[in-house]
Amino acid sequence: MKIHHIGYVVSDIEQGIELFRDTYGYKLLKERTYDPVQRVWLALLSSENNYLVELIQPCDETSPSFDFMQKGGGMHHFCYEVSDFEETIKNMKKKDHILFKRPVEAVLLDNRKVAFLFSKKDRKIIELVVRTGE
Amino acid sequence: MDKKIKELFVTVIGIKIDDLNDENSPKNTKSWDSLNHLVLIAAFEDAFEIDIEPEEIAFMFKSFSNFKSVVERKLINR
Repeated sequence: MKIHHIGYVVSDIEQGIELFRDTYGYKLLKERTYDPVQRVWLALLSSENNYLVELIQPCDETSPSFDFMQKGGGMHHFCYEVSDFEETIKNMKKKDHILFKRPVEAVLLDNRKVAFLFSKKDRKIIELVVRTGE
Repeated sequence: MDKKIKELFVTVIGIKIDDLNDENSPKNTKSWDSLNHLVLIAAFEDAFEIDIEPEEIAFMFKSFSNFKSVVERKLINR
């Protein structure tokens, strides 16, 4: 699977943007955007060699990533871009992953559908995004 | 079965079994956060050989009563 972006949780998205853009040299691709489904503020940045980082700021304690931020935040998930969405989910479920969020539209990613899984083996969150044009 | 469910739950969450009842919820059980909830789901899927759906995962995150009811239903329908 091809990595689309890395999700990174911050307590203040403006400070996060400032850090990644002004210190690490990332280019801001998408300004602060509210995602009503995840109840988070999001921003998308690109490194000099085109790695994408999604900054995530939970809005309140009802945001899915709030507990993660309370534990310090930082690297939250890998997002993989896949062509066959349903088949990939099916295969990952067979290989010790739990689907905990069914496909929903992601406002930051031009309303492309994303799903969230949890790896039982390393206890990490994986996001899948469907490849454009499918 | 109730005892087995409780034992696994407290082992994962790290509380005493005497402190667990139907009223326990993420709001009054500090270690039961959204990440540990997924660890719980993984532990129950593996231990009881059940599959838990996304909607059930969200429902189970409301209270231990909800959590237990889903596991019990899965075991009856297995």
